Amino acid sequence: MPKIIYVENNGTEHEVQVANGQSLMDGAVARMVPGIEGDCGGLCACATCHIYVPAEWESRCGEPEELERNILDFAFDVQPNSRLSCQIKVSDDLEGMRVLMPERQY
Amino acid sequence: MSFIESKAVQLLSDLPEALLITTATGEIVFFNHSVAAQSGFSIEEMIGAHVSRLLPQSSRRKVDVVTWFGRWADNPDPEQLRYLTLEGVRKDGESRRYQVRVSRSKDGQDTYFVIVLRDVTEEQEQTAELRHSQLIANRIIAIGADAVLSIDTDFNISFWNQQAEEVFGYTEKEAIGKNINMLIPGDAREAHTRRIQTFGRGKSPSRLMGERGEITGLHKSGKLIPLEASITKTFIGDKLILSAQIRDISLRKIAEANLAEREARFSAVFNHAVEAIALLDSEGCVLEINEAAREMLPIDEPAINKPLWQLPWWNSSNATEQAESEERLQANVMEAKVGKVVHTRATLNAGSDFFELDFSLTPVSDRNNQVIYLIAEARKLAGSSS
Repeated sequence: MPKIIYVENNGTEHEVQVANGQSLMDGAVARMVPGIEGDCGGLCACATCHIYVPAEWESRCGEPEELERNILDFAFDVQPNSRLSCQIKVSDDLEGMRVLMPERQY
Repeated sequence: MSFIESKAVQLLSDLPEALLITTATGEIVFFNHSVAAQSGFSIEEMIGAHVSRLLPQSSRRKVDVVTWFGRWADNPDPEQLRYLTLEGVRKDGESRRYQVRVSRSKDGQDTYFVIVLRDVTEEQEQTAELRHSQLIANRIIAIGADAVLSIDTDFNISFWNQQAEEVFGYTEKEAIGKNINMLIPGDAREAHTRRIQTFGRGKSPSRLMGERGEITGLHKSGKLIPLEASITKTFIGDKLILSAQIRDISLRKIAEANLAEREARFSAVFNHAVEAIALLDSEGCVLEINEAAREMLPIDEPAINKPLWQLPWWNSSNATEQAESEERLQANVMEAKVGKVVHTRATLNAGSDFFELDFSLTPVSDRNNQVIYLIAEARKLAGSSS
């Protein structure tokens, strides 16, 4: 299981083993990582699992679909590297990835 | 405008729901009383204004609201409408959250958006608070030293914390949905099922560790594990959920066995020593005496916690001698208390006989050189019986 490091906006780091095939959002919610809400449960319908992907990991996370790009309009403090964590599936390629969080999700 | 049309306009104006109508580009053409009350803006100042005036002017949030009105009107995805809330701002600057419903209305070539806003600010805040307390509780459970698990009405596992994984060897994924029997040794399953059924029906809401004694669990590897458990029940509607906090007491049992073994070894030496030995505290009060000491002393009077010099062993027929003997012994204890080994002779009263004793007091110090115990040893001198 790849290890993902979720970094809260205040700098607190959570190291979580996430099973291949699960989304980054699922991995965070299952291990009670604060700062990623996932209100809609992964339907890409709420923008409460907003994260920032560090540049070195962007290509390994794939391109966001149009729906995800649209929904990101509702996220707070959207940056060019903003993604919805429910749309990124974990694989061995993401071993050791750092996931950064925005100041808030609402 | 017909009678019905004017009635309809009146109805929309007085609707309890906050309703506004904009053009396709977002210019407000209708603003009812309810949305005016909710937003703090008057109808007069909002007619002709752009709808974005109801949204915060923040560089950190960029919803193109008119585009979204179009999307929601043409494709009202129920999940999005439920979860995507629009941040609005009242005239006084207070931030509010709205659920939005939009329909598109055409009048010849012109398109209008009919928008209903539902203020969900308080609802969202309450949900966030609830979630926060749930997060705290869950994180406490997650870091707790005990395994925590819940089972549903069918005895299937519905909650499993990380420590449960440590104790039983199953991951959360392997455990959730499985019957609790997986964690109970085969021959104990029936009795366990009966016990939890009885508890489920009983009046007591919880049963704490220690009330039911030790139980045995079954590790994934097949190994048996000594456990203690507290159990509590919760009804959700008529469905019973049982939750247990389970402690692996393997290490404690090993520690207890080691302690018992050391105690047995100590007793073996202490009680089988040829010399009479008494363990005293630093003030000279008796903590323990060994078998040899008991045998040497015919008096059954309890000696524990009494100062050594006040024991009836040193009795003399003569009151003056008696007082002197007590004083001497007390002085010996005081010497030993400050760290000095005392080696002397004493006379022991054994009923009708008196014995001359070779008597010593050895201080025992802790790491800080504080005397914590005194060891009194006595040996009868040959031919001392009178």
